[in-house]
Amino acid sequence: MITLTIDNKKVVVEDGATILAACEMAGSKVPTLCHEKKLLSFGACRICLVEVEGTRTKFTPSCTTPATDGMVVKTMTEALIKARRTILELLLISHPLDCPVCDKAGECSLQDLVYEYGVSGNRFKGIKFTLPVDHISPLIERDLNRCILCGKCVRICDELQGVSEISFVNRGMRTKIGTDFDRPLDCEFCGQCISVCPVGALTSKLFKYKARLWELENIPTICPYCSNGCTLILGIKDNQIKTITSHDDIGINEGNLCAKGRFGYEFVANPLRLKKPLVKRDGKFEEVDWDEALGLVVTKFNEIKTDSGANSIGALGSARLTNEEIYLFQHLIRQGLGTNNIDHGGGYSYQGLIGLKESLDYPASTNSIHEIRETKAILLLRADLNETHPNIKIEVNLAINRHQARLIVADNKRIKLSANVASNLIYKPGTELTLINGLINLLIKNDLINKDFIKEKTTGFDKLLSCVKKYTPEYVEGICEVNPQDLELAARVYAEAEKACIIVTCGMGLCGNNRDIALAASNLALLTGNIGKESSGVYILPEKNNSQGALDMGAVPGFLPGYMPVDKPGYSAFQMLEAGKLKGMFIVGENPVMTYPLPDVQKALESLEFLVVQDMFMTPTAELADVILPVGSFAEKEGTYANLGKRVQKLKKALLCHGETKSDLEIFIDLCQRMGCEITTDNNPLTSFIKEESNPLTSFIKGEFAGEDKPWKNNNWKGKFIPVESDEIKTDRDELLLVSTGSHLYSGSLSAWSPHLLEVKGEACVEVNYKDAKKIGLDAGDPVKISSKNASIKLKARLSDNIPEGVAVVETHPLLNVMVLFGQKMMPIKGKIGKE
Amino acid sequence: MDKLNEIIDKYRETEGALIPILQEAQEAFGYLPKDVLVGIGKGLKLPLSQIYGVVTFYSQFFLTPHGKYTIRACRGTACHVQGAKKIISTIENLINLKEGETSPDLKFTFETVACLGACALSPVMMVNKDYFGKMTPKKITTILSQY
Ligand code: SF4
Ligand code: SF4
Ligand code: SF4
Ligand code: FES
Ligand code: FES
Repeated sequence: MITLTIDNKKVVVEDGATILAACEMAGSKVPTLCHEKKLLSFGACRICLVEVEGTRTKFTPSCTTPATDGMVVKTMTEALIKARRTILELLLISHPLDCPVCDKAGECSLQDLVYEYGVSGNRFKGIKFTLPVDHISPLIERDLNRCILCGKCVRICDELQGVSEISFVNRGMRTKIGTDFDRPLDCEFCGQCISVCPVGALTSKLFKYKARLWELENIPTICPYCSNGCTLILGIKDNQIKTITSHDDIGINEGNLCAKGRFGYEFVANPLRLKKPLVKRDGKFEEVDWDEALGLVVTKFNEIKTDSGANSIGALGSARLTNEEIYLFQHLIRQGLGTNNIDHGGGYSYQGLIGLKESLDYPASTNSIHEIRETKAILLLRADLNETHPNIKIEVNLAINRHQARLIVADNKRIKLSANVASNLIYKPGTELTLINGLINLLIKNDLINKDFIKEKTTGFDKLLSCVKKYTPEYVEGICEVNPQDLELAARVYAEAEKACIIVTCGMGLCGNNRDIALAASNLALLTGNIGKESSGVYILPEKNNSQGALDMGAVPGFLPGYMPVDKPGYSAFQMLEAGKLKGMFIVGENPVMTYPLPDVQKALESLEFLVVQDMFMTPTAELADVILPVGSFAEKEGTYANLGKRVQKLKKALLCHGETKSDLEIFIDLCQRMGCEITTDNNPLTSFIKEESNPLTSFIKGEFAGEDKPWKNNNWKGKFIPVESDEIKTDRDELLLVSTGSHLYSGSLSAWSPHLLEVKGEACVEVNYKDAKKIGLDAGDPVKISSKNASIKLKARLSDNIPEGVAVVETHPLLNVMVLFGQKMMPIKGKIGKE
Repeated sequence: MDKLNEIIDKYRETEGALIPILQEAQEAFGYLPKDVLVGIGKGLKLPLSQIYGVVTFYSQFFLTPHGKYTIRACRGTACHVQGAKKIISTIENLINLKEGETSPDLKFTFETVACLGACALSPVMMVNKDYFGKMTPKKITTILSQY
């Protein structure tokens, strides 16, 4: 601890703290331009100068100088004010004074400081910059004439994003921030650079000329896209979202957002949104009022129930609904209709969480998101985080860059994060289980296991031991095509770290046996004692904003809310969609025609007597419906989402209802009443669920937010080793092994309706190795047809040396169902590619 | 590109290898075309934007084909006062190149520089690594005729 005096005030700070941090603590405001709390110090702008008594230099930059014991600091003297004014004048020599048309005006650090320090004239003369403004890059406009070269954009893109898209180029007066060879941006479009730019050099194209910043009402709420659960700040004017920003101190994301969160809001105001309930008569949709629509839903479902039994009705919910909505939905289906035929995400996307439930008695990631940055070794197991979970990637980058963590990437292709790995394991698609069993075999052989932990905290070690016996490095090489040295290195890196975590991604766009992959990961973690301590564990990253909640709330055939098993499990999603199985279906917020791997979904839905779809848009699934119920977006409702750390976070209603839409919750309440499965006012979700203290759901949502202990905190807890193995998939010479990969836009339920976001996605692609392309005669960008035994689809070829020979990686796309290739088994599959 | 891989391999284990690699690559190829930078980026696992940043920072690196002889005329304050303008226009006329241009036969490249750090000798010009001070139009003709 260090004691020092700032402006006559004594403060105590931690060792290593900067003078700037101490000033903040003392309540003395020191201006900064290039300093950013979450980035490493840079010390370029010098505006943060302070006076330190007894030093030889007159001024000291406070953001880079560590505080020392007994220091006496002054932050606001005549001389300092003069110096800061001079710095501002120098910046203003070349800075264009176009504040009236600058989107940053009102929140610009330069403008604010010039105002605060009363700089009106300029003693210096010079020329203004005349660099061309970049209007070509998507989403981000770059007017580098306004740039003050603070370097924050370069640093955030490098340190946190790991993209390094931009850099300082040229020298002297001509220095600027640029890409290589001055091309337009072609990056992740996270807009993180915009978020740190202190001036208006980097701005959002979506916000251009939409409003002045001070006119906006800023409403924090939770991102509707992925399971990270970032806090978005909606900038609202005239009942419209004009922009989305973030704040370093609000939410778990520390101000970091990805492209979806920052730019993916256009769907909310999309003119194609449904505004009124629709009923299909003679093959055409007609607008009706709510009473008629809901009345029809109840009558029809009751008819089917009387004629064919409740089990001829099925329901699909969505992991985008709030906890409260999912709870009520399953209540409606189970109590109102009387069936357990309820599921979501194809009954597939949550299987990884089920795996953890079986082995660890905890159906969620074992540790919290920010623990990742402090770990010592990370195993990314089929986790292309840049694509699927960009903000978890930031944690991984922090672990590597700031905490010297070592990274092992196990994937079926080279991913972006492969660039700075300790060990890179590129395995043949579908052989994850063999690979992990191989690692386990090595750890046991090399005595790198935690014997005390195994003895005291686990069961089933013997079974594991006999299962992995045959998985010698040579055997594994034969199946996974991973060489023994790499495997050995990976085993060491993981097991020798004092704490290590495993990260696996799951979701509809990722084929593989996710339950078993989670079990394999869990086996590995238990073997090394990496469960139940900080910065270790197994992370299963599900896909959607409330994937965790949908499972917690029981939108599944086999569990009630809180994981109470049901006596007679209902049909799974895939079973429901076998033609002829059901007579009626209620589909809420899912679009199986576009996202399910079943080639015959459309037929199955067409064969139903009665189909109700509840959605914001006329999706291909909705087109098949008899009744469509239009709903509100995340910005128009209240409720809670549980993120991947089981943190339950509240949404805030920021907009009035769109047209005559209702929230999913209102619809479920109305239907519950009509079906006679009402809930009393005590537990009426609208009145009390959302007020957290009395939320009856907290007993089901056992997690971080509810303050419930994890099961391993209990002394009697034991983790189960559950050995898992898989069959080998063999391909013939003229075949490729097809595998899917999650793209950073997922299913498209929101992104497909956000045009600018979609623009950066480009066309649907299949990626193949250059050598295979040559064999087939493909050039980059060629239209190709790709077929498996289940289906054929058409897309564009992309060539890459990140893909091993013999493999074709099909990326999910918001506008094309690529999963049909894989069928219900959802495993990598043999297939053929040909030029169209 | 084999040549490039050789150069990269030579420095694979060294820290801070970027600059020497760029120097050797420029030596080998005459300048630093985009493919070469892309190759270096792959080899060193460095983002292209950063390499480009380094290349544009140092005046010793060229992104476009460069003449065998680089003529640099100073237009810094001291030289300016001593008549740099005249020197520059003389050179331009003699070799028929404007500032920043390279002759089609790749013999000369002409550049101007803010200060060559030899103000006492102003006006100053350089041909490759050789300095020539107290320049006059007549001297220029003699010097350039030697190349
Ligand atoms: S948008 Fe993101 S990836 Fe692109 S330059 Fe900015 S910070 Fe880097
Ligand atoms: S563009 Fe903005 S963030 Fe980047 S260096 Fe310039 S002023 Fe700083
Ligand atoms: S990381 Fe996930 S939660 Fe965060 S902004 Fe992106 S999509 Fe939204
Ligand atoms: S804020 Fe300290 S040098 Fe820029
Ligand atoms: S001004 Fe020409 S050498 Fe310095």
